[in-house]
Amino acid sequence: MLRSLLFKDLRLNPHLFWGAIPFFAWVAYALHEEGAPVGMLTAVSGLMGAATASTIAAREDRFHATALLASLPVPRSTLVLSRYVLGVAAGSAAFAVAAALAALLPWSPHGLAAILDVRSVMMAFVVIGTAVAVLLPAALRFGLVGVVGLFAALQVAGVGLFFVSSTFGYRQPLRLVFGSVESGILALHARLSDAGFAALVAAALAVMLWASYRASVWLVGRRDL
Amino acid sequence: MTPVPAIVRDGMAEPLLEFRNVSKRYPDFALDDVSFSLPRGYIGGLIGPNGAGKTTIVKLLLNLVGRDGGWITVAGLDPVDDEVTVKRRIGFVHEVPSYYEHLSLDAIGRVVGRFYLDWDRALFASLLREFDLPARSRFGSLSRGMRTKGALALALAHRAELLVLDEPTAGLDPVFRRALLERLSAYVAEGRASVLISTHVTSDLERLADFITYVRAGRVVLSATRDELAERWALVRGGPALLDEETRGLLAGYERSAHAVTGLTSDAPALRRLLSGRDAVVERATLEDIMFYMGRSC
Amino acid sequence: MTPDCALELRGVTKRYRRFALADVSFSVPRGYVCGLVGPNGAGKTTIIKLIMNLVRRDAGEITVFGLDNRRDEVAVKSRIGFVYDSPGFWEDRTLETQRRVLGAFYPAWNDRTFDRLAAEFELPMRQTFGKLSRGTKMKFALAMALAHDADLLILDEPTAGLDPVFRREFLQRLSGLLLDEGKSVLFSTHITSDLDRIADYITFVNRGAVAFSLPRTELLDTWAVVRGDEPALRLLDPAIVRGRRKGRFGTEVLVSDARAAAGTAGPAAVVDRPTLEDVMVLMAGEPDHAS
Repeated sequence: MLRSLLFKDLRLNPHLFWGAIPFFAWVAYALHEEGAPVGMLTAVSGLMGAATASTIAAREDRFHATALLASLPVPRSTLVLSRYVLGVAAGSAAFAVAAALAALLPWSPHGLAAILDVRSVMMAFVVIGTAVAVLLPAALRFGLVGVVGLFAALQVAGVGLFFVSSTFGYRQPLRLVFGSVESGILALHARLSDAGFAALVAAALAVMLWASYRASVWLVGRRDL
Repeated sequence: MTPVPAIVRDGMAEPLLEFRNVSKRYPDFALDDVSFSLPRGYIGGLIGPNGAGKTTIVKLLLNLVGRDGGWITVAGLDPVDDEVTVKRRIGFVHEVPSYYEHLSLDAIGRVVGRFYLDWDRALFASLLREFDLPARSRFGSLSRGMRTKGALALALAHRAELLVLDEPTAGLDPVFRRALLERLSAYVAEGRASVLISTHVTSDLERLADFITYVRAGRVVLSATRDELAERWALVRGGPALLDEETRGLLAGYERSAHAVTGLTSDAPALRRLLSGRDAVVERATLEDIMFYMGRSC
Repeated sequence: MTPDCALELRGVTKRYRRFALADVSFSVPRGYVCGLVGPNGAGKTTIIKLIMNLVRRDAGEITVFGLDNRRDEVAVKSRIGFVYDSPGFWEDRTLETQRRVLGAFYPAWNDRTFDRLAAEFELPMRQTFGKLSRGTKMKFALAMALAHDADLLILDEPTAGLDPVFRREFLQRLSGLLLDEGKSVLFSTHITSDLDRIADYITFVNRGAVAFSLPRTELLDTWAVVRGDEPALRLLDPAIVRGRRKGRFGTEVLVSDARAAAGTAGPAAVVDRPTLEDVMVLMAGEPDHAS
């Protein structure tokens, strides 16, 4: 059942996956910049991947397909689960692609080992997990309303900001905006080298995702279609 | 039969609506040699399968598309040459009326009313009351039935001489349908106006339409009055032996199962004579029967 | 709980802000067709949504082939073929894709059955759903509903927007299926000629409640329409009066006991066998506005 659901999402939304190509082309370009923020690039890729799960849900709402899906012999909890799986899977895949680009492109400053070190991977999962845990309950409960707009804005802003920052070099305003977020993330990143802390983060992530999933199941279960 | 005062009937010789040899070509469809007419004070039904040309006919009438050949007259005027005058006299109720979704019926009435010389504000208000429509609610919030009623109120309020309705009763319950049809009946009874209804719900036309035009694949397959249909068209049911040479010659279509045959004829009197004494039942054909059996041979 | 029921509702209640479905009970015996009728807004679609568990019921039970529609949701839904008023397919994907993707969810999905139906309905499988006419969309939805050997078909206004010829063909096919394979059908519709052709039972819903659920023939045999002037109609026993309507040509009253009415109504009243349309119009009992 879960497999059929994931297959459905892939077959019915091919353009969302192909549409990621321009984004990765950008990432590839951005990597040639001296001091390119590889960590951020890979993390944001993960974020974007995770967001596709919400976009897919929103699309279904637009076509009133939610009622059709809920009429299929699939429990609502499995429908919800498939979204989480998709979100994490898409996020991981996007991260892997970005990481591969960063590692393999000749003009990229870093090597494979540096990219795939535990901390970067953990960071990516923090980003992906948080995105999925926060966004999916809203997308599943409210469908189209507001969430699509939010995503479109985030994705465009994300790409746009990297466009700007890579082309023109780091500018003060951007630095400030990202500065605080970045320092928070960097601090987290730094501390992830400590195995104990990393384990703690992983556990917290799992708990958060599980809690989000339960919340989504409850919300979707109550939703009148 | 809709009762029409005799004096009006005799006086109005010219039909209110007439199509003569009208044709219209599209890349993958063509309306060919379409002719029919509708006198004043009567209700005409336009029936046919999806894609047969009903909507095209309506669009030609409203000059939403241009014809390639033939003549169309509305109250003696050409919809192309006298576009404005013709449109002023026509009231159109579209299949899923979608006016300005954010405006109320009141507001729509004010906007639309400016285009019509005969707009009667008081009549519009009283129609809204009669149809039990909320004048101040957003059009977008109204149900399908209410929208149809609203569109009808708009059409009636400018005293349209020709009311054209495209699938007005689709999705509406029988209660509303009956009320709508009675309202239309009353409207034409005055003798001044006519109604043309294009619809799939042929049962509505059975009780209401004086004239029926059946369009199939861009051609008029049948155009007759209700009386003519009742007299000349019939269904015959019998055993398989029914389908002999002579009988088949009189049938416009038939369907055969293992034990029975049902046929449609356009010459009921002749068929009755032919089959008198034989084991066959000849009965009235509904519009749906005609549509179903015509051209069928299986 | 009756063992031969394909579908049974008992005491089902659902409350919305401005509307409530109250204590709805009726059943569809196995192998029969039940028409669900009533004015717009009466609650027909809500009933269908409750059966499919798209909305949660506040009270009551719904069983399909003896299984609770919530507890055994997956088992129940794999035996139901549904067609909704607004199809809910993806507008920008082809029929072929959607058939593959959605068919996978049904254990009893049969590709050959679907192909046969697609050929009969002349479905353009490579077209995107959004480009099809309403009639073709419904045909696709029907093919999808019929291709997994469902024992219960739930159809919400399946023939709306279809031309009379296809409607009749579709109903013929449906009748054939029921005869051959003992399937059961619940379908909601406004088109009384469809009901005449195929419905064994009529369940009438009005203002959130079931007004009656009867075999069609019994309904038409025992009920009557009485037409006449007010004094004659007033003689009728109020207990049997189920609806009335003042039309252009006089008043009509619907009674549930034709024989009693014939006995008591005055000579100025005419007692007739009702058509389904009479029943549907008069049951809704809206007072007519003078035209």
